[in-house]
Amino acid sequence: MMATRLTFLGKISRPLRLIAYAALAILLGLIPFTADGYWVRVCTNFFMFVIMVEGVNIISGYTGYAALGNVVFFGIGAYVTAILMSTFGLDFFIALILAGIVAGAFAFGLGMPILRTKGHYFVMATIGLNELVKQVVSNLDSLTGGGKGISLPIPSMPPRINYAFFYFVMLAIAIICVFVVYRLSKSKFGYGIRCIKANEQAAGVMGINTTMYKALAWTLSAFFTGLAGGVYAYWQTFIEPPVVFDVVFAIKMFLMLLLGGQGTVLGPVIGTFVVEFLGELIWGHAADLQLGILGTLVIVVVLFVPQGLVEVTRNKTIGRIFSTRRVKEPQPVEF
Amino acid sequence: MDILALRNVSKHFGGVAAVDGVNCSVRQGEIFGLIGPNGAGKTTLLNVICGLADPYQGEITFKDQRIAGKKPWDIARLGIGRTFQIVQPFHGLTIRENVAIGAMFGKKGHEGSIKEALSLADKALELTGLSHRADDLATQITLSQRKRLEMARALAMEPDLLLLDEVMAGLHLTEISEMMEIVKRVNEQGITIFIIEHVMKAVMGISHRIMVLHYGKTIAVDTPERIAENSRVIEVYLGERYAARRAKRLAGSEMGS
Repeated sequence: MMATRLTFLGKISRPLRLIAYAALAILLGLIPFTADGYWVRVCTNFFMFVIMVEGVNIISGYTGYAALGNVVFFGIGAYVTAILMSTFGLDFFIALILAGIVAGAFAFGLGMPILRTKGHYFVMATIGLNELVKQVVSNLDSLTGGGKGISLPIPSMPPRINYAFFYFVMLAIAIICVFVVYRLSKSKFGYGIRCIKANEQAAGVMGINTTMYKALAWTLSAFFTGLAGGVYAYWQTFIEPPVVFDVVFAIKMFLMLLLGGQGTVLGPVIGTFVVEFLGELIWGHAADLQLGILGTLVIVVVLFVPQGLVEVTRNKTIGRIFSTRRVKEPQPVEF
Repeated sequence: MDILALRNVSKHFGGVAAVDGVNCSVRQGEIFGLIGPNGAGKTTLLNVICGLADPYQGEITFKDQRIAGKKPWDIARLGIGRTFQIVQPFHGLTIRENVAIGAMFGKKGHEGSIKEALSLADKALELTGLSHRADDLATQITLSQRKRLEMARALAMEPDLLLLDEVMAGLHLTEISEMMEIVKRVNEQGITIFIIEHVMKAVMGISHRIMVLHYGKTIAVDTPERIAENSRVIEVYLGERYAARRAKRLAGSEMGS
């Protein structure tokens, strides 16, 4: 992987590519009006995880800081949206943007001290942070409703429109998020955080403000994760601390990231797709085997394609769909 | 004119004084060698200068500006580049990208585009003789090339002062001469060089002045010729055998002439 650039449908000629994009857009646009409500929900869930996994990808995949407790921003986004809408009566979209900003600001403020830790210590610090915020939210009854949870205004739309609404909101944020990560991967900032992942000390003496870059990367990560949490809260109309601050969520996010390929633009999309849809399909046919099959898949991927499923797209046949500009084949080292 | 001046600089790790009251000044445009036995505090002194060993006691001025307490990236952008004794390339980036990082974030960083940084990188790669490996990954090149990569990356930062930490360690004789040439060429471009080196032939051959460090203390600062004859330096570092060999060589060349 390493020095390759992945572009979706990049090797196909331009007109064909545009047709493919259009077909994809039409397909995505038609799903909420044709598919069963269950599958619309599955798709919405898929988009939500794409946002969150791309969020983790920014801080972990690109910057090298395994923020296992990143789900804390999901919870913060959900609660900020809930409080602003139900207590202060704000419009959904305004509350949502504010939720993203609050989550981002929280990451920036806490990132300065927490991002000084490395490796396992950072992982533990982020999990601790998640537990801490969960406890605070559970006990601030007057503001958050405490352990009983909090209800949001129920959207006054017929069910079908309601499903479509959340489907498109999640889809839009997911597309923006993937696009931002794509731009990031080609920017100076992107180079900066990749250097931090590779060698933080060397990055510092090369003139990269490592403290600021790490904090900004986590801020961006938290902003998107917060948005996902905000949409989730309004979609579910009821949230409670154990659900939105669930560490199992966090583990699922990492599973998707590693399965798809960390530090790549499309890895998180592929990983999320496999886990969500494969999971649903197996659930429908052999519920007992679901976890076993997913677990086996993870072992196979870790053993044979440790760089993630994105690596498979470099296969000659499949590679026609995903083009990769790769560096020269490894040459024997000359002594 | 002095580009870098250290006044009474000390760095303690617990009770150990790794650098103990060092005074020295590096003149604009010179090659300043730093030698001393293992554990003398050479690398620590370099870390102190480039901001990796903060906090420390004493005063360091670079181009008449105090740099104590500044972060590594601020010091880098003032115009100090460095290489690491144990090479630290950015894995996952190509050689050209590795070097371009220096141009992107170094002295003039944040001004130019990524494209400009890549073309600056090509210049640094040419100077260090790495152009033919530009598109390879940092893991695919030899030690000698990795040492040159360290140089190229620091050069792309367009520094005024370059700190080199044992860029010749582990190289064979031909590679050492090549590296000496590169260092001289870089110096001819007006870049002041502060070099730590154990390869005596190299450091004696290219340095204008040499400082000797022993248990964190300066024991001599002088020209290479006088350093080689300094009895204290022979005692703690060069050894009697080196002195005898050198005396014999000098005697031989005098007889020859």
